[in-house]
Amino acid sequence: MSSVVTDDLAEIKEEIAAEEAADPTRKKLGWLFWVCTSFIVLVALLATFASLLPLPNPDLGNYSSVQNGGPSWSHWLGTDDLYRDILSRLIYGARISLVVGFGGALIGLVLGGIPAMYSAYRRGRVDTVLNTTSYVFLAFPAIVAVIAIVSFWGHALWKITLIIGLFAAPLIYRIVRASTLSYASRDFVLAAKALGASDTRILAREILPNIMPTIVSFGLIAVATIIVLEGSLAFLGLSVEPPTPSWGNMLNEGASLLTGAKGQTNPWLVIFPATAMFLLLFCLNVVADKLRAYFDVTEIKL
Amino acid sequence: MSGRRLLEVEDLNVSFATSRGSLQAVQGVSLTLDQGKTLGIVGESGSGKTVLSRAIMGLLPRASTTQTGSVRYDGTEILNAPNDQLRKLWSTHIAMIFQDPMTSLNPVQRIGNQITEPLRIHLKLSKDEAKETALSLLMQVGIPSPVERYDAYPFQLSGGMRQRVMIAIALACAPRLLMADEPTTGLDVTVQAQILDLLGKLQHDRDMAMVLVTHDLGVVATRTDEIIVMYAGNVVERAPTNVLFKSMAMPYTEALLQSMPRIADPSHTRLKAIEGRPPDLLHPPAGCPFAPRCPYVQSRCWEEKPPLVEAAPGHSYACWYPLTAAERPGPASSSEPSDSSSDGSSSSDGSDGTDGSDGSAPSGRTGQSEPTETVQA
Amino acid sequence: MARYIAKRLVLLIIIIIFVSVAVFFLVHLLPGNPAITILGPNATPANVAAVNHQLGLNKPLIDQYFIWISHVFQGNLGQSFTTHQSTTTIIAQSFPIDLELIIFSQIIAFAIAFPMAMTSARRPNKLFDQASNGTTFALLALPPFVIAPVLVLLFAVHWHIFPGPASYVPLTQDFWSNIHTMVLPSIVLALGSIVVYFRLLRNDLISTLQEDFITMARSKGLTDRRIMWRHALRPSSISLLASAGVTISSLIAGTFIVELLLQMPGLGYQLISSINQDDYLVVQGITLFVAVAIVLINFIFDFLFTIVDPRIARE
Repeated sequence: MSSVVTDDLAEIKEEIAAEEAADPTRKKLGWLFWVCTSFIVLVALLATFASLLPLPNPDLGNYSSVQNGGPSWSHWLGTDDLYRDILSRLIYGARISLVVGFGGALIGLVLGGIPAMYSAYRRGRVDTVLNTTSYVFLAFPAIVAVIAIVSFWGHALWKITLIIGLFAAPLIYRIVRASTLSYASRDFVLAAKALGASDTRILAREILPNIMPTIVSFGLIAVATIIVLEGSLAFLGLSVEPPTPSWGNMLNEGASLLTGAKGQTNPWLVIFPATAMFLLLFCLNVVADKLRAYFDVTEIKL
Repeated sequence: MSGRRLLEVEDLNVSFATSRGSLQAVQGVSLTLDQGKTLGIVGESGSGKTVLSRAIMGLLPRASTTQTGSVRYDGTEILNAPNDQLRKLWSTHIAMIFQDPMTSLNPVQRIGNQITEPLRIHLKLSKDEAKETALSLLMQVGIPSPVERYDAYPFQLSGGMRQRVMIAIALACAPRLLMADEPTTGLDVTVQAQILDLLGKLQHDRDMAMVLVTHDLGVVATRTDEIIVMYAGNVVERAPTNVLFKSMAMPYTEALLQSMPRIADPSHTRLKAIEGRPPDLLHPPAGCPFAPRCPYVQSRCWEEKPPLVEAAPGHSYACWYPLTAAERPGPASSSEPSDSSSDGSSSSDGSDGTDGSDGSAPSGRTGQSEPTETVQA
Repeated sequence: MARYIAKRLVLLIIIIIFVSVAVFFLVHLLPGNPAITILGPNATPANVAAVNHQLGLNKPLIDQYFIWISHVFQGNLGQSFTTHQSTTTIIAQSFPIDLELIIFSQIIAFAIAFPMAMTSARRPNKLFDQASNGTTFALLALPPFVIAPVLVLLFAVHWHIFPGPASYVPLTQDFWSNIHTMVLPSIVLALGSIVVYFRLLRNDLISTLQEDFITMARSKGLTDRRIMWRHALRPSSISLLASAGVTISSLIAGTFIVELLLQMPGLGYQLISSINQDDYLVVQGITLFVAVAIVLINFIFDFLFTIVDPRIARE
């Protein structure tokens, strides 16, 4: 209903908004963004170089130390019921979250994002088919499917990453398709086409740089979501097999100790993995949120 | 025989707090309105007319606006009055018809509910009484088969029907003052006339006072008793309707008149748009706000802001060099002076101070010809 | 309207067929031999062949699928190898627990998220709004498997306010004990829903409250409360309903986690124990049931849509 003349108030507001948008000094990522980015980088570095750090073996307990001990100088975050160092297990466990999170998102991007760019750019029958398929897949409850597949196929890290990536693909497809569509018929794309550029070149050189902010901010949300999914699987005992540590199975062990079934409790085995998980997810959400605000990425309705 | 003085506005100022400073949307506006009379408020978009009408109603957001001066309804001060007090006036004493009936009706409520709501709340009618009243209101505003329409959703009605529903809602509790903010803007021309005639008839039947806000001088020409012309938040001319059309003094009023189609014109006459844009209200110019766009501008206009003075009884204007009788586009005698030539580009009438109208606008914006307000049928 | 429903129905049927095929092949194409699972690693080839024959596992997969699906339509989802209970019995016994958890948690979530969103939206970016925004943003990083052990640690182990794991009492046995055991898991599940409901409703309410029809409602002399409840809330709950699909999936994942943690014999608990015992018919049955339930719930929400906003069915 744009047939109506702009209302005075609306017009004034629009002008102010336009002027503010044109002023780049107003936009800042803020200190929280940098703190959170640093935390994610720190976790990634620790996980990558864990074997170079002076950490005790995460899978084997040292039976001369305390069982279920609290934080101390020799074990900063305490030990679990198998005399293992919780800090060491946390750092090695971060590998699982990060590999599944970023790996799964990457697989989802390759399987969902690339077809999405082509189908949104070329349209036609392929687009219709892929589009409908993505709706059907989205209606399918991913968590149930992933639980079922993992329980029969096995719990190896690469399998879990692959399966989760596969189920992330339709969601990523929808996001990338929507943002590609909004650029596919812009003048600069048509100009490149007129100059005889190939489709692949146009997608890579003209469209991809423009949808990059969307991909990055939604990609980070996908990473967080996948980490939650892997954590839930691990908690249900369906992720990597013990003794390999992951934050989810550490929480599971901590929780099973809470029940007193083994005659002892160790609150630290709940508190530290829970805190680590919270901080990582919180930081991923903050970074994604700030990037979205910074690049003015509008929320895409699925 | 003038009725009771219903509305009295004195030196009303409205400013918005924006992130870039305070914006003067309405400056020192005074007006009065008697029972049964109609006041037209005319101006381009951005002239402050909508803000003015909402300030009178008390509908502007309190947090982001500063409103000073006085608005008296039936002798009671209502400017900045607490919401509880206003709520007792709204609907039963003052009601408003909004610009766009598509967005102003609740999209997910049946129209029957929307009409009976004020009846049940303010007049404490029972469900059945309210429905009966609502049906008779729908009939009064000329809606065919009201019983079926009663259960319809707004999206199931045409634009004209929706506006009739709005009128029915506004009139439900028999207000004494009706504020109509661009009541016909979104509608096509024949429907516009029907709605305006309906408003006029209902107003007459109910002896109601009405403020008719519009950008279209044609709309107010035959339907108002007095007209206020607004520009950049200021009243620039105020006169009884017949006086205004006979002896308009302000070049802006003339420009508004020339920017609208007239039956006397040959078909396909190009309308003359007002060149340039209204001034930046965050940084108002020192002189006359219309100076950059005025074809008659002289050096004094740039330096001093003309005050609103009463030049003849009831006729005030803010202009250093008001139009002379020869320059006026009189309603009957003059389709001649300016725009009857079909190319529409030769704009000069007599004194043509061309230096002002185009490039030298102080805001740095070039005077690009853009239609000020367009209505798409 | 009829067209809209027809279109939705067709999509629903396609999805359910897809789901059944997916569940079946998922279980059958993956490595592992049920006969060996049943008989143990020392089974003789003759025994394995006998079991395969008994279960129909020597027929072509397509045939197996149609046999299975025809049984499903007769309400027969097969039998557990370990307990010899029928899968439908297992589902009938455990599903009420999930249902109760979901209903309780949603009541809590609505009771908290709605007033919170309405208070926030009334004065956006003021203190209350900023505090609620910050809190929910933090809650976003607390999925059930993280928050559930922490809450159990605090409320059950440390303060003994709520019963700990393995203390589930059926509703039919003792009403108040049942409610008591339900509080903690329901809160865990509610937290996630609160975040979603609050954020969606707050944003939608803020934009709705700027609409012309709200100004119009104000000019009718209505109270702020009435405007909020009668005029703003309904048009603002569209995104909320649209999110139901995602919400219900994560809600079910959440119930699985609290059931396992608190050892409540719901569907999730049964599913995980069947997985651990390689009881493939039970896994297949529960998976199919849950998947179809989720799809159906989504379908029902699609209808609620058209009631909340009659414009949608018109497209």
